[in-house]
Amino acid sequence: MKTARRPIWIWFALAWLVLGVLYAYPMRAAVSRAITPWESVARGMTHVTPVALVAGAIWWLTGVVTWPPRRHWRFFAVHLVAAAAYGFVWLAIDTSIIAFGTGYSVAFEIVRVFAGFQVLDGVMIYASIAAVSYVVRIARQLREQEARAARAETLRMRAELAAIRARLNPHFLFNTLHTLTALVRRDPETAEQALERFGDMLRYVLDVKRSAREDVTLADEMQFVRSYLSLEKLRLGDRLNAVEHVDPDALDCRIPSLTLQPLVENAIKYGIAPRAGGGRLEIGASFEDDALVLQVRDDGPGASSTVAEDAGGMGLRAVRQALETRFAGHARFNVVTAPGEGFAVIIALPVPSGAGETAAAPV
Amino acid sequence: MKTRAVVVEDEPIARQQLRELLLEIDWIDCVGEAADGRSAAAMIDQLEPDLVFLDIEMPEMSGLDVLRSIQHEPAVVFTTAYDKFAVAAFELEAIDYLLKPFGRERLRAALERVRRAVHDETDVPVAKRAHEALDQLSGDGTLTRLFVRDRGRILPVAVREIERLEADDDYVAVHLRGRRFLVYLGMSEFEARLDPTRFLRIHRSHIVNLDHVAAMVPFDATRLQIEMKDGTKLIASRTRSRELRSLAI
Repeated sequence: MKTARRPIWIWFALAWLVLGVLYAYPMRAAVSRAITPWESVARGMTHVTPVALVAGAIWWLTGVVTWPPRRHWRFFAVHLVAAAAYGFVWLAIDTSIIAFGTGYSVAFEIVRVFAGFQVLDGVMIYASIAAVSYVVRIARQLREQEARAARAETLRMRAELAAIRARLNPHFLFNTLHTLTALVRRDPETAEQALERFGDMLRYVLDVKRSAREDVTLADEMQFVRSYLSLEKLRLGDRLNAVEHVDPDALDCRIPSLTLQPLVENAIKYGIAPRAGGGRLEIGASFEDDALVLQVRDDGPGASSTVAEDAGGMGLRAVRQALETRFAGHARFNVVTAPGEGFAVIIALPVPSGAGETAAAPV
Repeated sequence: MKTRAVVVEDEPIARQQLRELLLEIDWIDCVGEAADGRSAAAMIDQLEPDLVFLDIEMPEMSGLDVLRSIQHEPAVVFTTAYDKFAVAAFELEAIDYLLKPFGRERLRAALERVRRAVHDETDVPVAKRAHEALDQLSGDGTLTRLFVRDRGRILPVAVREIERLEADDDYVAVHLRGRRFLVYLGMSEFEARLDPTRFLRIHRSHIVNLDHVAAMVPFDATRLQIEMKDGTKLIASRTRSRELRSLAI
């Protein structure tokens, strides 16, 4: 929320104006002859103006020596010295002005009588200005912190939304809905089943997003992949031929959610759907040494190895990045492909010894 | 005589659904179906149907490629699940399309439009408009001409003759010569395709053609009122008013 605020120097100037007027009374008392109220106010203003101009330095100093103090003795020492200096500077300027206006002897007399008061006065004013400066600075910091927090929250929500949208591929979504529309009258039973699967899929995607970065068992991920495949099979018919080679022991391994499905989606999008004759999709899970090896392979047009480096769409890249942040170099992500040779993604995830229980240990 | 139609759709269930729905339409005779772009193109040139239902996303050859490659010029209804750019181009060329998912109701609405078009020889041929639509997809230059629907007829409109555009829910109303035509397109998408030296966005829901502006006068302390030559008065938003003022200097 933004409200129009007056710049701080206006308040600052106003405060000095008040102080200047207040000084009018002692100014009048200090002079032996009678002077008009206006003249005494003018003298009050002359008294405070030079030192008001110097006061900007205090604001600057509160920016350099920040609150809360890191070392207390240093904080108070700096301000004590600065306050004293401020008082003396004031005395020096005031005395110079009087000396210039009324002569040295008067100035000397005033210094003799008032020096102590004026320096003390300066220290008090210094303390007030420094205190107000700190309050203003802290208030600003708090406001900025609040704004930053609000911005971060907005960014986080936007990222979450983008993630959900990326998972729910609109092509898949609308095409599937169209298939379901087509099935409703002709084959209500299949339509019903398909809607159940569709519901399962949506639940998985939305749930997983809510508790991001949570691991699921390979069995859960495979269940999700099967729902997805059954819907794609409805659309693509005989063109999609999918086979699974999954080691039953691997099903209990825990893997990051949405590791397999994007690979399957990618294989269908690039390896199978573009071909009129369709193609074969293989999903594999097995153990090799100390690793859980997941494979998704299609017999589609493939790609040259240079293209394969940044091959695939957003889906592949997202999986690769997720694995990198999650396993920090302990997971392998390989693409095996050549033109006309199909496209395979092979992922190896670390499994702690005693394989088959809780693989893919968290970092 | 019945209208002879061909269905081009790669997904078997969707293809069968469309064919079955067409069976219920008495003035349409479905003479063929194709499951991919290549065989579709061959079939269209061989059977020379009056009407083609053309899926955009297909293996081997997209629906748009099919249209590019055929000699015969049938009426076309595109079907698509999700293709914002194509849909925008179709809107600007008044080309019929069906957004998936669709069932009886939407199909019938689209067919009503097609029926009038197929029997109205005065229209600009669909194929010609379709080719324009394809060019629109590739280029992002400024729009010089678009098509609008007027009681089942398709009328070409020269963009510089458009007096102003007005947002109307999800539509944009195109105003010219005292008439008003609806195009199903977002204001910003429209604005992006207009010549910025001629068309000015003065409000979230108003774009005016400067050639048809009679005067701009202050409305209140911060806003300007735009008076059109046809007497319409529009009030520019605060932000836009500020920009307009800086333009005037």
